[in-house]
Amino acid sequence: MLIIIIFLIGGGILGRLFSLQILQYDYYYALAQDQHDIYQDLFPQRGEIFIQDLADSRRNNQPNYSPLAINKEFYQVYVTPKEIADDQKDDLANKLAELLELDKETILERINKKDDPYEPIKHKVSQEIAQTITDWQIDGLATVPETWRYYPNGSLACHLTGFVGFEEEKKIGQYGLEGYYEDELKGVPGFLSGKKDTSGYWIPSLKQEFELAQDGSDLILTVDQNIQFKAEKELKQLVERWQAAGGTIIVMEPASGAIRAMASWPTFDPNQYNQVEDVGIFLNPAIQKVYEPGSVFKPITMAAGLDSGRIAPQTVYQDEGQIRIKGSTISNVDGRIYGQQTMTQVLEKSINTGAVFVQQKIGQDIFRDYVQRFNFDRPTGVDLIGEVGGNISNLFTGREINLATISFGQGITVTPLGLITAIGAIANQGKLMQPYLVEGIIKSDGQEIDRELKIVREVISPQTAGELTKMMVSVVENGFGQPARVAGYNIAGKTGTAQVADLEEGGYSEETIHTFVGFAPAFNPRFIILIKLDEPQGISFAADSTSPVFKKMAEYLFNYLEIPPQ
Amino acid sequence: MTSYIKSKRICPARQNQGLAILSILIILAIFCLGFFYIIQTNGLVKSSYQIRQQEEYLRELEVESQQLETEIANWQSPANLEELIKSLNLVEGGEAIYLGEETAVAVKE
Repeated sequence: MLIIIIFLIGGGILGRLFSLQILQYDYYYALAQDQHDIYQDLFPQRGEIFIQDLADSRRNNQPNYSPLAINKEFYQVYVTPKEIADDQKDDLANKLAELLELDKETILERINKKDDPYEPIKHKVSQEIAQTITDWQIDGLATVPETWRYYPNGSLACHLTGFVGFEEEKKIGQYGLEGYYEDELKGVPGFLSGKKDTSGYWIPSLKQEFELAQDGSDLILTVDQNIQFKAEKELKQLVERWQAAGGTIIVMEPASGAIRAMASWPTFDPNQYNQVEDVGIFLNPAIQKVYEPGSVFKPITMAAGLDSGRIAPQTVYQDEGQIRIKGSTISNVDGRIYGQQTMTQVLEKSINTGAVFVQQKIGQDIFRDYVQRFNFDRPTGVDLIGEVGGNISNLFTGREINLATISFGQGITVTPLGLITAIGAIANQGKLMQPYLVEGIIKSDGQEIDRELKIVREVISPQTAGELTKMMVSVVENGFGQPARVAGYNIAGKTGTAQVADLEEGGYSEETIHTFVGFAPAFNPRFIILIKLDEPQGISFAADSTSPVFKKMAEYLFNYLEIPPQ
Repeated sequence: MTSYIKSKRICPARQNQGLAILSILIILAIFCLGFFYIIQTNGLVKSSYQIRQQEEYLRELEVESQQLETEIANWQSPANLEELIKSLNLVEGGEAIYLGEETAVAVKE
């Protein structure tokens, strides 16, 4: 009997050992490995974005960069519901709701998830609040540090930076520079594998593997924080004053294509991008929205005429107030008949029939060639994600009326950046520059990569550019651009008041888009500014809305960049 | 008994003594190696712990430095500076006057 009992017990023990060591080998092996081995992904720090302070750099004779996008440590508050006593749950929910400004019911719902080892309560919690929670010393309630993207200037240059959002639960740069330079900014993850001690810390061993994470590269922008701030401030005031739907201001250095400011309205705070209801606000109107520019396009028509030798600034024509082309009538905006006018006067008074005269003089092929040379049909190649090109398809319809309207900026669409880049070529002795925002990339090992300037092509000769600049100076001195005049400085500019296409009923609506593009000092330009105002109310012409803002911006830049009067 | 036989009888004792010494030496060597191993391991663990402590301290300093940098960036943001300037009732700078080459300038040596 005893032998049978011993046999049974022995058999039971052997059976159990067989079960543990053979049948459940994989499970216990994994469990043991988990206790001894460590495998960790090492996450790189995302590269930061810096903005310039040209004035401070000049004063101190060394570059001064201010952070525009950085990484900041926040905390995540989480609970382990199974560790929280039932009688404490309600009290805890009350305390958390008050401290974290959350709905009590939502917290209770999460706390009551039985057997849940981890339930997040709130992300992006400040260090002070995290410390308060730690001080409470409540079982099952804890905080863990987490790094988030932080934009210390709030909405400043929001359309340029974009933001870091989520895609399939992974952080990823979206829109603007964060999107365009995602590969450079995100860095390369590393990993660590080896043995760990009882506290879970890595201990050196023979079988260890370690690959260091490579942090992302930092970006140094061409944008100046003070010019950007001024542009945003002026734009906000302009939009509010004329109850406009939106607007854009771009400041660029014509000789290099370096963008000093790119402001658009409305704005958003990239720190709280998830609170924006209309995701359309994330689009950068300066590069992602096209419009019919109107008369501000006339210098391009003149450039084609002058450079092809078909007209000269003093070429005269007879304005009769309107031109009839195969049943369609093109009139001057103010309905006036100007009589005999020179090409300079055509620009000064922004005479539509004069622009049509030039287009007809140069013919379809040459006109089309010059519009393409100015790159209106392609994106500029600026280092921002999602840039679109203009639409010049009407140039290829072969219809005379289309060519005629395009000569004064109707029936063709451009982006504000495409337009300022094209006019910038006139300021830059005919050389079309590729605009850019990042002038340097600093890799995690300290290696610096400077951007090289890119000349897209010479679109017109330096002589043509010089003649056209004089004509555009005359626009500001004697024409519609007079409100943009600054005493002591030569300013070249052109206004444009374009009708907005009515997409529902066809034709054009009553709404307008006002634009002013100008550069100064005209014969040695240090900056070119584009100001665009969408659908302003109670004002008819760009000369009255955008030109005075150009004056304010130009005065600021003359002082800021220390440009003495001529 | 001849002296030869005597020496033969003594030899195994000497051999045993030599083996005993060798054994003791081997045991001592193993003991020493074990002792050194323990010292080494102890040193390694101690160093690892110190490294960990230093890493934690470094991380604390990094977080503190990051917070200070963020604070500086917040204070230096143009929007914040403008608010500060408003509260100080400062007057906006007027038009800059440039001294040209032909302008008479008095220089104090």
